[in-house]
Amino acid sequence: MKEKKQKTSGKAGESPLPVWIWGVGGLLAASAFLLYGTLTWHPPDEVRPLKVAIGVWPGSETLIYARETGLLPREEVQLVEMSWSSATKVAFANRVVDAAVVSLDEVLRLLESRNDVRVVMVVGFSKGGDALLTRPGVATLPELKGKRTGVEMNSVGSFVLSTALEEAGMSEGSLETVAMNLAEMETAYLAGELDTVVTGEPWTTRLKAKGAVELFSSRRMNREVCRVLVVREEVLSERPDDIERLVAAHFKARQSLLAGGEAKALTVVKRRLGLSDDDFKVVMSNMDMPDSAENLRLLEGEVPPLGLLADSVAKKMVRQKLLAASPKAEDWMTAECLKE
Amino acid sequence: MTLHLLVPAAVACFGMALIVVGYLRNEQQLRERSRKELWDNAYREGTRLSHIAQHLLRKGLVQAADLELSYVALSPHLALAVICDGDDVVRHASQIQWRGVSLKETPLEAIVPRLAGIRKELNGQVAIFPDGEQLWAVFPFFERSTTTPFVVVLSYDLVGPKKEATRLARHESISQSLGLLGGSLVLWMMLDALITRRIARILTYAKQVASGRSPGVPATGADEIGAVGQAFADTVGQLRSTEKQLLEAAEQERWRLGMDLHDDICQRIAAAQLKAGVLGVSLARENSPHSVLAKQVAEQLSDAADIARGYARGLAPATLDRDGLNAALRDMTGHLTKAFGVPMHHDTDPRVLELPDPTQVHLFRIAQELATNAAKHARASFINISLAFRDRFLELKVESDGRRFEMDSGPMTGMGLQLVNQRVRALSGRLLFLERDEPGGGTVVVCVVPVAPRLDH
Repeated sequence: MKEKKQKTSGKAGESPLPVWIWGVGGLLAASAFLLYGTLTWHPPDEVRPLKVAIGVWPGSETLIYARETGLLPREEVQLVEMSWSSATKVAFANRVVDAAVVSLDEVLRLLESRNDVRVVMVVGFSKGGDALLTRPGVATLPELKGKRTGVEMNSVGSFVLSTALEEAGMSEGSLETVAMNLAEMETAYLAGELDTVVTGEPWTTRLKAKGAVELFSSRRMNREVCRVLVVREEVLSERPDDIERLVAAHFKARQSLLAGGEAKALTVVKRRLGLSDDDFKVVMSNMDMPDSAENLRLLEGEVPPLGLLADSVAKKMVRQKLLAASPKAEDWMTAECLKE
Repeated sequence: MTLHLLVPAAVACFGMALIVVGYLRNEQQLRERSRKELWDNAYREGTRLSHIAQHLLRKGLVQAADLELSYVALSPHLALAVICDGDDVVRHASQIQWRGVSLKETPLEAIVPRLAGIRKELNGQVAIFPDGEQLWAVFPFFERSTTTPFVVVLSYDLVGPKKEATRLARHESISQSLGLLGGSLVLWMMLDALITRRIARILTYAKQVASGRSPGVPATGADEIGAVGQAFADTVGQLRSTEKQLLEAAEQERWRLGMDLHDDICQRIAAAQLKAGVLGVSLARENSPHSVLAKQVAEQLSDAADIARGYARGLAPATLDRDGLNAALRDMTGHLTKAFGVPMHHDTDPRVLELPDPTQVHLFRIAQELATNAAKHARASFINISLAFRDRFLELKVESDGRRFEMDSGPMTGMGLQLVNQRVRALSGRLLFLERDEPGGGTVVVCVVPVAPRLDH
């Protein structure tokens, strides 16, 4: 029998649709919208450029060159230019900047008090650019005994001086050290206020051009004087893409600079360093800037070569009483920004 | 568009309008705030730098002045900061490349024409030009060795902060929009659950009531709609109660009429028939030609008596009152078989006698009306009536072959079926018209009535 028409008593208005599906679906959608709206109601973080401190040193001029050629847009990376390299370490240590170009011995000094330092790239090795210079007529280090020597304390200068004295078998107190920054040394030396200076590029080449004599240089230190790019750990985890772009820009600029470079940007670099064309070539020859592949080799592996070098430098610095102890941290370098 | 869509849509539209207005105002406010902060920062840095530079340069601490400018570069949105000597040559700069260069050769050349006036007034100035893209701060100071004042020049980028203000305002507006969308969706769901569906139930309820059914309560709850639903249900309940009372009154009136017909009219006709018969016999003895007429009157009175008794039986089935539903149905089927010539059978569960009298009366009347209908309209070759208990229901089934019952042709609107429906409602039952699938076609009308638990077995 087929039901033709049915009259029945009962509850009216029963919907044939699966109401609960609509209800649950709608509730989920509404919750998602409300949740997202609520969570993102607060203003987003301000998009600010990555702040990178650099001193006046030819190796880090790649970043200036990258900025001038458009490889590093100003709205993405803000270069904070310091007149001398130890100032960059201070700015980095005080979290004023996100990244900085500092020397390896400065990294070891930073690791004494902090564990959030990450080395992401080796910018360059000094091949004679950091040197102990003195006035003509002085041939050996022992002849400098008691002479006024300008040196930047807590920086690569003190490491170079200690190594030089160690090699010559002289004690720390055999020279009269005058603490000053690199930018001041040239003026002080030329004014006759100093007999000797422990300086770096571009002042080494500039002072040599003015007659200063080299008694010791980083050429005899087996790559122990090198500059690296350091980043705070939190910045690395929050802005890895920005760091990768910065590193990539350095390598592109390095390649372009070694190939001759763009004239306009090169002029800016030379003006910053206060160097003539010839002196610029000399400065570049006093430096070894590893490329991306070499950087990968230095920073990667079970025992990264840079780690071995740092151990060696740390032991030396401990012996020279420049460092209290070798750093215990082992994860302070990473090659993850070099992968691309 | 339904109300439950219209209201959230109106709320969403109004909200979106507010968000758009809010976005425009917010963007403007953020830009203003950003500009004001930069302005204050420029004034503060310019003043500080000019005083510090004056102090450092008088003491010959040029490197310290360089370092100061390096740290000024950390100021947000600073494009360039320089200290110029009296000849507009850059002595110190946040970007070292500009040291020793004439100010005219730097990106700050636009400020050069204004320097003379600023030096003359010896007052620092903060200004925005050109076209609101740069904010300048120029603060003069005297260095020891020169008579023409040195100047600190700071240049801030205003385009970046504008973009940032737009980005922040847009972000906030998107967040608000999503929140509003979610809120509107929740509102829509609430309106749908709390109002629209319940009103739809009341509407369906009203249609069912209009078609004769008595559904339950259309809407419950302590709110206004719940109260309306309850009041509606109460009113319908009262209506059904009145209807039941009317049916009972009508039934009583039928009984009274039937009894009057049987006890009075039928007796009088019977008496008249007897007298007409006697008259006919007397006239025949006298060989009167009127004896035939008297005999015919007696026969017609006999027919009239049969008809009147039939009406009386219909109006007040004596067997129902005396012997119960089973006997009444037997009488009724016999009478209808005789009246319409359609074989009619009934199969009744004997326990129907335990039903209350009013229920038996209603069931009898329903069966009577449905069977009469089938006999009259279906051209049936048989009619079966059955009464059986199914779980907690009593099922009255009237089955016939022949023409199918056409629901749309109007019989439901006839007086007879309306009365059937009223009786079904009075019993809180259901009435189903089913097509008979067996050869010969026909209809099965089923009336299902709830019964007390003790009767279901």
